[in-house]
Amino acid sequence: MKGNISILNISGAFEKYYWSEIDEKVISKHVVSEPLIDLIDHIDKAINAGLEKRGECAYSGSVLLSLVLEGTGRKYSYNIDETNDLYKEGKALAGDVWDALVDGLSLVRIKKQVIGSLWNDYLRRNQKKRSGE
Amino acid sequence: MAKINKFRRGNIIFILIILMLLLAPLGISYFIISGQAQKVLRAFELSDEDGEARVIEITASQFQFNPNVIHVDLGEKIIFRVTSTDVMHGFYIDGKDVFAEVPPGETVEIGPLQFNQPGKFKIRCAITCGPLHPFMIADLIVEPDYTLFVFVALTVLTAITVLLYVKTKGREDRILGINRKVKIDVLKRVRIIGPLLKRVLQWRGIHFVLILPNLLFFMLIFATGFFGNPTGNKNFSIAVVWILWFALIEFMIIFASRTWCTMCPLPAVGEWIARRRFIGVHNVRKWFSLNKKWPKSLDNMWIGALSFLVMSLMILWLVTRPVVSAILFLILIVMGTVLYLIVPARHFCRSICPAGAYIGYHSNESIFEVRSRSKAICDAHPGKECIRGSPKGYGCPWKLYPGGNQENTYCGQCYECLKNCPLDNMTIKARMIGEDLPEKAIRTKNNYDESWMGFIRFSLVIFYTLAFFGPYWFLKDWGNMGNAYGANLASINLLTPTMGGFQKWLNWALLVSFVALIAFPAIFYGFSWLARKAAKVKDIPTKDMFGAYSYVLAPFGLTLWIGFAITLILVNWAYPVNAFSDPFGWGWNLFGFKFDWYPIFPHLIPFIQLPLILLGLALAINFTYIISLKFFNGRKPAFRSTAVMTVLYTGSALLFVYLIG
Repeated sequence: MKGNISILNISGAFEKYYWSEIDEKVISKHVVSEPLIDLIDHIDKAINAGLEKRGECAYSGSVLLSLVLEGTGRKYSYNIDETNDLYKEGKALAGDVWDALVDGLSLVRIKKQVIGSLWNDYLRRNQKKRSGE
Repeated sequence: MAKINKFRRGNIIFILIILMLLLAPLGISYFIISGQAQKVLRAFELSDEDGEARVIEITASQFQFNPNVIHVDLGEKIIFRVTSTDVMHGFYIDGKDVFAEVPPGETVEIGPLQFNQPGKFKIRCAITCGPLHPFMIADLIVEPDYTLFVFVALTVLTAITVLLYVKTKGREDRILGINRKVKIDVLKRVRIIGPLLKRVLQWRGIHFVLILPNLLFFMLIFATGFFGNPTGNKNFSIAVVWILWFALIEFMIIFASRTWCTMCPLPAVGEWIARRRFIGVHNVRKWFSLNKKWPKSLDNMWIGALSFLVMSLMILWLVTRPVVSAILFLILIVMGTVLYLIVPARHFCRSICPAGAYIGYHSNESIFEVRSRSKAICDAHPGKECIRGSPKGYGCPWKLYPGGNQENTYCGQCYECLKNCPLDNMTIKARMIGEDLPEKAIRTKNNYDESWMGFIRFSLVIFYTLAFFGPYWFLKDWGNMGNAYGANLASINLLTPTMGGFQKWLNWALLVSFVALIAFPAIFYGFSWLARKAAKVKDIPTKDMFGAYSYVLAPFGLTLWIGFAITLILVNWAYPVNAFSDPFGWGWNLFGFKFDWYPIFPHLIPFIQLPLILLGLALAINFTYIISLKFFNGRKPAFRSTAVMTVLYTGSALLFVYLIG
């Protein structure tokens, strides 16, 4: 479907490797989804620069990984599952975002959709945690 | 921990062997030879005693002494009567207080000198007399000269000893008794320096900081080359590049592999333009480049090897004419830049650059490598930031998969992989000389580019030694295109050889090319065939053995080149040092120093070179045995084929020994 960007897997990866590691006093929508915002910006720039989808989506996986490491104050990850999960999810999301942008969805709308879904997911998961589920 | 202890133990043994190899021949031969002239402290001295002295007439002219080989007897009194037929020359005998100025048209008497130590000494021109002045050399042989016999005996003895060692104790994982598979992760294991080095190498600015001063040096080379003094040894572009840089590179290869490529400015301008960045990583990876693909047929060392050969055919012009050197570097920097703008990767360095080719070829002998800590981790991570790049760095500009790289040849040590890796899996390792050489030799089948690079390098060190430090004027004259000069050195016409001169150069070019490209490879192939016969194997083609064995010329050749580099520095050190203070050769003294030319320990040079030759020979024999063990499943055939190849290596070593002994 046009503009359908699934964040289900990525929120799972974020819960495991990002949200649990961030050391912020106030958790906002922006903090929760910051790496994805940067990733979407990167895809937009790549499309405008006329770059090729396949290579750029693969690179975006590394961009997401790098952003998550940076966001959690780390230089490296010594957990290969973490690097692989983040890379794969970043690559997949980049593909979806790429298609959505090419299909004519605006950057702002994509960002809103992704940030909104991710924030809801974050809240739902945290609520479950708090209620002991 | 056990591994480290093992390494330390092995390291100590290795150092002891190296020290022994270096010092034993030096000591033995020096004492044997000194013993010939009992109670004598000096090789020869001015004699006050009455008696008949033999007069030797010598003519000095640009750029030869005639006769060029002089034989005198031990204890004989000699008067040298030197006449200059053209410009002011100097008369200097290596390592002694004999120095005389010989003005044009005049005859100067030197002596009587009494020769109290046998051996071969060099007579050198000590006053700049023109472009080929540093190579104006004659041999003075004080008979009976036992140096050569002692050197030959030590060479043969080394070959036999190493053969016996491999026969009795030779193992695939050991080189000269040291475990070649043990490595040290420098960034992790070496305290303080390791983490510091890691920070420095991961800093994005390091590449730029290293390249910038070299780029400025290049600018100075162009300026001095085009506008400076046309006499080579007085000009920065010659003295610093062809004496200092050329010599230091050989040492750099052993200790730091391709570190020169880290700081080389030749492709840097193209790289900066293509990346649109001096330092950082552009967030949109769009190259300012035509983004063409490099042809697969050119992705090898053939062009680099041949360009090194062509450069060497011009070497006597390159090292004596600043303007020729400046033109060469201009061509290289333009090529490096333009190629990067067509294909945005280091293909110029990989496949075209003559220096890149020989540095890469020898870099497997280095004790230094950039490798992954665990190849399995790299293989399991699909991100492959080391290839594709990340926001922290570019993908490998040398088009390698650094995580799985197994050789130094094409790793330009840009450290992008070290910056990129999110798993902290890339590092620098210290290791044994030629640690991965046997595996590489076996792996590389039907590719002979590196084999020919080996033949070219090995042959050229002999021709360079002959042309730079030998007494044979005709070779220098051929290489110099027979150019004749007058007394006014500033007005010499440097770029227009006569037709006769060109024909002379053809002699040099054909001789060098024939030996490097045809004769030596043919002999090597013949010995490989004999080695195959001796091993009594039928399932391995001779060409495979030829290709694999040719890799042992890398360590062997490198030790010979290091010997050459030491000579270059010890004899000519004053020229590059002075060139810093007076880069254009216009008589400036920017830093307040100007040294008179004199060679450092010139009489010891053969004794420094010999251990290096013997080390190269020992490594060649041992590597051949390891390669043979990998080829044949048995020690006997491996030993037999190694024994055959040893004859060739020993012969080659003896040829070099003859030149220096």
